[in-house]
Amino acid sequence: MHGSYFSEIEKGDIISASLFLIIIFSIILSLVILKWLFPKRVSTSLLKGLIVASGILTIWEILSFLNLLNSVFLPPPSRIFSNIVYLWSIGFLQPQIFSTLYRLFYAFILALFSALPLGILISYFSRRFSYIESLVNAARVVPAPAWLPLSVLWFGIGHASAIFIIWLGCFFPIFLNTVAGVSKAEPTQVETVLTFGGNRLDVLVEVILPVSYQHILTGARIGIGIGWITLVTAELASVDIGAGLGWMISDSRILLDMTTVISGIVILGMFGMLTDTLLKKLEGLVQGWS
Amino acid sequence: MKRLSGKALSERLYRSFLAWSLFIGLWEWSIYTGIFKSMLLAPPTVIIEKMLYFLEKGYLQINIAASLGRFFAGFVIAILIAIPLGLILGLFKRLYEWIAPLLNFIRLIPPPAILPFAIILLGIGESPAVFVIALGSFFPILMNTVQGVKETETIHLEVVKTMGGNRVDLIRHVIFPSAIPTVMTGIRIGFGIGWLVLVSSEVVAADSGLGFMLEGARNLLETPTIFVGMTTICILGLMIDVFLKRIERFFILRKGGGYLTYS
Repeated sequence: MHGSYFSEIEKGDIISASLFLIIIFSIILSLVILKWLFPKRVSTSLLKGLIVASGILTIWEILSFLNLLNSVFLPPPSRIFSNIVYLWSIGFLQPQIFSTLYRLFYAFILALFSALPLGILISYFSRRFSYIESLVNAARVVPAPAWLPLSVLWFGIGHASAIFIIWLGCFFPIFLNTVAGVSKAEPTQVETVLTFGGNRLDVLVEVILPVSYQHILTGARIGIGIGWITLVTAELASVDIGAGLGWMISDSRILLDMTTVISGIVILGMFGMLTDTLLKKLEGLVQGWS
Repeated sequence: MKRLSGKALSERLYRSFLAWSLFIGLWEWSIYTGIFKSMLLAPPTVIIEKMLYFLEKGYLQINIAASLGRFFAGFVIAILIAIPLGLILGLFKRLYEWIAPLLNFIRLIPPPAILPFAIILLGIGESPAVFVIALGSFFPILMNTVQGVKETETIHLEVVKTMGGNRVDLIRHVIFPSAIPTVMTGIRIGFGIGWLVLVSSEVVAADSGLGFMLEGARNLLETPTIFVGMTTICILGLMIDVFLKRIERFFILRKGGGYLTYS
C-alpha cells in the first residue's frame, strides 16, 4: 500500500505539473493581452511582479520535476497549489482563515478605539505626557510576544489572552503615531478656532484631525503589521487551540506535512498583503483630500 | 533636534523619577492590600529579590547571553546582506521595478510563520531562530537603503559626473553618505522587528534564552520569574534602542536636516 502511495503521487504530479504551468502561462498571457488592449486599466507593477513570480515558480517546478529538489522538504508549487484547492474543497481552510482574521480584526479595532482617544487625550495635556513618557517607552520596547506567558496566566488559555497580546502589539504604533500627529497641530490655528468662539470639539474636528490623519493611518499600517506577527506567535504557541492559520502551520510541521506548512505561509502572506494594500490605499485617499 | 540643556534634562529626569516611583509604589501597594493576587502580579520587591538571586546563580546571564548571541547573529547577517543588496537595487531602478512586488509579498509574511518551515529545513537548534530573526530585520533595512539611494540629490550626482568622477566615486562620495541617515532609520526599525521576532521564536520554540525562561516560568506558575524575564527584556531593549537612536541622530545631524520617524 505504501509503495503504491508514493508512485501515485508522482503519477499525479506529471499531470498537475504540466497543468499548473499551462494555467500560469495562460494567466500571464491574458494579462499581457489585457495590458496591450487597455494600457491604463492593468497596473504595470502587478504585471511585472507576476511575471517574475511565475518565472521563479516555473524554475522551481522544473527542478522538482527533475528530482533536483527534495520534494518532501520543498514540494513543487503545483502540489502546494492543488493542496490549497483540496483543503478549501473539504472545508478545512475556511474556518482557519476565518478565525485568524476574526482575531486580527477584533484586536485591531480594539487597539484603534483605545489608542486613538488616548493619544488625542494625552496630547491635550501635552505637559503631563512628559511625566509618563519614559513609562510608555519602557512598555514599548517589551515586544508583545513577551507578554504571552503573563497573558495566559491572567486570562487563561483561550480567546481572551490571544486578543490581549495582539491588541498590545497593535496599540503602541497607533498610539505613538497619534501623539506625533496631534503634536503637528499649530498653536496659532488652535487659538484661532478658540478665539472665534469654537470649543474643544471644534478644535478636534477642524484642526487636529485633518493634521494628524496621515500619521494615524501610518500608525495603523505599522500596527497591523506588528499585529500579524504577534497573531502568528500566539497561534504557534497554541494560546487559542484548535483553529487559525498559525495553528495549522505548526500542526502540519509536527506531521512533517511540508505542503500544508508552505500553503499556510503563502495564505498568510496574501492576507498580510491585502491588509497592507488596503491601508495604503486609504492613506493615498486621505492624502488626496488634504 | 536640539540638545537638551542641563536644566531641561534635570527637569525631565525629575519627572520620570516621579512617574516611576508613583507607578512602582502603586504596584507594590495594590498587591499588599490584596487588590491583585500575588500569583497574578508579582510585587516589585519580590521581582528585584528574584533577579538578584538569578544574577548570583548565573542563570540570568546564561539566558541573556543566549538571547543576545542569537539576536546579533541574525541582525548582523541581515545588515550585511541588506545594505549591499539595497545599494544594488537602488542603483538599478529597472531591476528594482521587476523585483519589488515579489519582495513586498515576502516582506508581508509574518516571520514567525516561517519558523516551522525553517525548523524542518535547517533542523532543530540555533539556525532556524537566527534565520527568522535575520528575515525579520532584513526588509526594513533593505527598503530604507533603496529609499535612501533613490533620494540622492541629482545635482550632487551631476556635479561629480561633471568633474569627471566615475561610478565608484559616485557611490563612495555621494550616494553612500547621503543614504546613511535613511539606512540608520532602517536599521533601527529592523532592530525593533528583529527583537520582536527573537522573543516570539524563543517563546514558541527554543531551549535557552529569555523567551524560553518566560515560557518555562509560565509552565511552573512562577510569576516572579516571568516578571524578571520581562524586566530584563525591557532593560536590554531600552539600551539597544537608545544606542541606535544616538547613532541615527549623529548621522542625521551630520548630514543636516532630515527627520526621525516613529516605528
